[in-house]
Amino acid sequence: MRALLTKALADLRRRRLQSAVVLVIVFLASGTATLALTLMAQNSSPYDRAFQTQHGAHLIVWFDATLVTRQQAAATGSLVGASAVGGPWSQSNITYGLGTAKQSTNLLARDDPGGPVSQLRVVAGRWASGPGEIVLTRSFADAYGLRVGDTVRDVALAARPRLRVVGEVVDIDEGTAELTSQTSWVTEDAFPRLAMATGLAYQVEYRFPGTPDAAELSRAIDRLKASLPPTAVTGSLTYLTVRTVFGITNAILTNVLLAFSVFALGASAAIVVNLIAGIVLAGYREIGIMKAVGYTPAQVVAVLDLEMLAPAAAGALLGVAGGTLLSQPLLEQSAHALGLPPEVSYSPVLDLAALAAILALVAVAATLPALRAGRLHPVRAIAVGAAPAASGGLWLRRVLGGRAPRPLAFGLGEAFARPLRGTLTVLAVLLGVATVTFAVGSHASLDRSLASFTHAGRAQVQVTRQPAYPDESVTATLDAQPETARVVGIDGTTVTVSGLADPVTTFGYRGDSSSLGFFIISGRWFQGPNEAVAPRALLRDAHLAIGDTFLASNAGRSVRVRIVGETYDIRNLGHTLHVDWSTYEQLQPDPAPTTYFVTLGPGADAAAYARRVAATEPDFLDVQLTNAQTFTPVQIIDAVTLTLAVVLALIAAAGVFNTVLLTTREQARDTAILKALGMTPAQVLTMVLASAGALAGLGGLLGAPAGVAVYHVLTALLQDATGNDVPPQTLDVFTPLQLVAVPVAGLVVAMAAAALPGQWSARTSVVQVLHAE
Amino acid sequence: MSLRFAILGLIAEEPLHGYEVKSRFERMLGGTWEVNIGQVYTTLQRLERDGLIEASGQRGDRNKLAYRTTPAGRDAFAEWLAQPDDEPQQLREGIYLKLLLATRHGNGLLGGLLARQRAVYLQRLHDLGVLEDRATREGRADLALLLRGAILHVEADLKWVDGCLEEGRAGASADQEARE
Amino acid sequence: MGALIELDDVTRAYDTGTARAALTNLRLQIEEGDFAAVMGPSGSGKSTLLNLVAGLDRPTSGRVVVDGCEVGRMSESALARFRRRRVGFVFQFFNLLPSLTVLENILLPAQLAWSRPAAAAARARELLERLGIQEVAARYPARLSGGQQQRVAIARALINTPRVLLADEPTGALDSSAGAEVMRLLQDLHGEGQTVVLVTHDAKLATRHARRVISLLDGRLLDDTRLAVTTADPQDLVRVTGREVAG
Repeated sequence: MRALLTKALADLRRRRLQSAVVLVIVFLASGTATLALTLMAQNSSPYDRAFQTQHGAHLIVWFDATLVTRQQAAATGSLVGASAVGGPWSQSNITYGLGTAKQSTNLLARDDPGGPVSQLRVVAGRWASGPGEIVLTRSFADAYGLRVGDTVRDVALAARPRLRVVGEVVDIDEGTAELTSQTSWVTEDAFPRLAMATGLAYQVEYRFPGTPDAAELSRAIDRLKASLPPTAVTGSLTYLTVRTVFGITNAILTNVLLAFSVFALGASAAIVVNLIAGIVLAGYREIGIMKAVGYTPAQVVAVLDLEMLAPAAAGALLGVAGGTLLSQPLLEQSAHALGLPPEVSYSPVLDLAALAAILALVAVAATLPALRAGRLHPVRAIAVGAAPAASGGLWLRRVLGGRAPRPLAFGLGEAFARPLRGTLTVLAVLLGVATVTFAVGSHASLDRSLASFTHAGRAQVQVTRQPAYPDESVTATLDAQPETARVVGIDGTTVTVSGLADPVTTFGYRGDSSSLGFFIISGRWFQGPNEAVAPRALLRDAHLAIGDTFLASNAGRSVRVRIVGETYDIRNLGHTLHVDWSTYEQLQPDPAPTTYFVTLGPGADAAAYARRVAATEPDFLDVQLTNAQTFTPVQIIDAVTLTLAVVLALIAAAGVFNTVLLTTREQARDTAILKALGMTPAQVLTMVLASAGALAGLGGLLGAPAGVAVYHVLTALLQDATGNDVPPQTLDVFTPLQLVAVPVAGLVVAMAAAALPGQWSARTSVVQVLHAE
Repeated sequence: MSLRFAILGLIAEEPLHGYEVKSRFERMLGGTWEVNIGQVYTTLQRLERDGLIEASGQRGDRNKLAYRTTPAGRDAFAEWLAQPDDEPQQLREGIYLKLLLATRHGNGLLGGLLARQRAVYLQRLHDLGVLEDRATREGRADLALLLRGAILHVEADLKWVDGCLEEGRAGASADQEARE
Repeated sequence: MGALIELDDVTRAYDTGTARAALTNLRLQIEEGDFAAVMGPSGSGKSTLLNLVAGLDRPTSGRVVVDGCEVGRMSESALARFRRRRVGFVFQFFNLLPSLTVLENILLPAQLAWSRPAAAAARARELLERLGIQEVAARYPARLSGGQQQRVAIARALINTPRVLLADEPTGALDSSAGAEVMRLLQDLHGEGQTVVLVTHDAKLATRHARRVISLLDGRLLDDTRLAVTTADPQDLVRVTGREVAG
């Protein structure tokens, strides 16, 4: 054992550069993998923890306050077998005027933040004690820069009452302000003056014994509906939905990270195989001596394994630790939003398993080529002294013959001289180019998907109206502007769809809604009354196909609607419904659009237009430019994708560097002869770069289509997570320029990586190499 | 006594008279060993006296008396051939004495002496080499053999001189280092 | 006419900590048409001298001027071009590229120098014949004997008609007959006007064929002998002596 260690350590000291490269690539790959695995394993746990601590509600139901009394609502708990009931709390809406932006939340009347269900943790200030005081969720306050002591105005009411923020709480159901709607609380006696005229409801929250699943909750809702007048239940929400939405960003990230880690580990394994194969080749004589001295074949293999495992272990330790550390901020975001104390959330078992798996992978990658060393006949190895000359590239040299300049011909021939090494290098570059291509495509498609419902390319201005300000006024204002070319008004409500437990958010469009640029995945956009389009998740859950009809009900009205197309919408994880105004009017009493998308004429100054319109009614109108919207989860995914692409590019570059290093060292003697015969340093460099360029060129050529293929596969997975099919528009995101630019960039990076060993090769002294015999 | 057996050996090849023996002998050695005729005749008489050669009739146009070997003579010649030469090594007194004395007198003298001696040996080597080539071309195998031997001796002397030069330098630098 | 090769107070020291330099204050001139053999024990600096003349190494101080080019001042690229055109180098262990055929090996310096292919090919054929290796032109070096390989190396060294042919122990890896043949070749080439500088430890070969023997010791010039054309007879040079024993 001692003999093994001594030899391995001595070799490591000699091959510092290569060991460093192994350390770095294993570090990067294992970091990525650990990050992915930790996120995957721990994603739900902050939520679950908070849920338990705060006695979260398994089910939230809203009852129409005009059809159900408070006592009736309170009695529903025993009806469904709940173990604890929270509320009933009166529920309405409130809209804050925050500068030019208007933000709405739920408004609940609640005197006590505690209770058996859905406890609210006060994290700043205190609970409200009387009229004029309001309590916000911390997520909402953070998102919009509000603090305890600030005064806000409710612009949902004509009177625009002022309220003072007295406290911030964490609500297990709140999620993050960007993805789910938030709640604000006032006391019971403060509520009546703040409630809106219509849409009053009672919010009741239930906890069940054990952990109810979706089916159980669905049955509970059915029982409620059955026992109450029809349309008494205006809405419901299960904790499962909340949890999924809560973790959606991390879930998407995990998919992406997993895919990347597979690539990264694959590339690293290829590089390790290459390295060991190269070491064996370079050390034929040495291995012969080892065996002559008495190392058994197994021991020879073990020494080579140790040489790889030592830096790999260091890299893996750092990587696993780093990946786990990096996962914490991402998980912490969730925890913070849930008001949980920062807790380190990872699984030591997972980390150890990842470490073991990575080391096993490296060991296997190192052992396979090392077996060849074990089989070497000692006498022959010492006598011959060098590995059999590489002969693979002769055919290429023959073809190029005298037609190409000598340095180029040598370089290109050299690239394929050792087929295994060349293939593995091509593979590493392939993976790098594929990943970067994927990242480029992913970025572009995220952009496009986002635009499909921010409508950034189609309408420049988005106007949101508070109920206190009439629709006619808005329409008049917009029509009066000379730049206005087209206005589409949108309103939303929840509608019960036959076959679904939870009510479905439904959007009605007044105007030429097909111009808004929603992706049509199949079928068509609606053209008239009683037609609807929906994303795949809704269609799947309601068992609807294009052409099927269903019953949509709201506020006592029912309408038979036909599905005419499948669209792309990630809101509510794909549970939305889109209908024309003619259909919407049948479902919603007194419908009026609350959001207007305005398309301006050519050459219009959108910013000036927006300012002008906002000035007509600063309190009740929220005017935004559509292209100014950002979406944090998208930004996170983008940033991570970009980082990972860079990581993989680094790994690929390291692979090329290593290969070129091995090859130039092997070729040192031949190169010295060429230099003695008169090859200038520039020609030597050309030779090396041609070699690297050939491999990288091939890798890039294969990598771009591979990246496009991966992009298609991963996009499908991603969209699946959001409850949608892949819109064709996001499949076709690659411009020819991009598909050429990425492999070319890969070529440039590879040549840059090869330049350093190439320079060394060009600059080593001929005398030292040739006379060191 | 090599001359005796050399003459015996020549006669063993073919009956010869005195002058023939002399000229053949000198020719074989390429003129590097001259013997006078008197020496030859004396040796012939002694050989006859010892029963190793006997008269063999007249030879040549001058009707000189030729000799041939007896069976005893052939045996004696074979025995002499079989015995290896274990004479002590011959060293050139000139150079050897100069080496010893110059060493006693200090290194400065020695270096120049050795360098000049070296030049002589190099020229000698060149000359001998040219002669060897010529001898081989002219088919004179025995002369070529002799010259090859001479060349090797000169090479040995050259190596000796080189060795002294190296040692002298080594000694000088050792002294220098010791002094430092 | 100035010397083809001139070393002017040349020192080549290595920073490995030893007190002795490889060459110290060497002054030497080699004329065009000369055939010089450089001799000396190992460590005497003879290989270093050859490397300097070949442009494979630079002096630490002093000037090395070969065919008008001052080696110490030239960049790596310039030195490479110098090596292509002005000198031909023959190594002890041949140093042929194993993956190229004999002809390809010979043509290599011409291709590196961007010579016209037709002219280079013609010269290569000429050299193959001159050196007696035309039958093996399409073979790989591994299939050749040592003597053949060295002749290929010589052809390679001559393809660009260098001003000086440099050889570092060219017979060191050959048996005596192959070695003698190579030396005769060098002598013949010299006879045709080629300047030759040869490093060897074999005094016999050096004096047999070269015109001048330069002896180095510890990086300094020990001796510089121009060999005279011999007019001697064997008896002037050799004396066979014996002890006369009575009887």
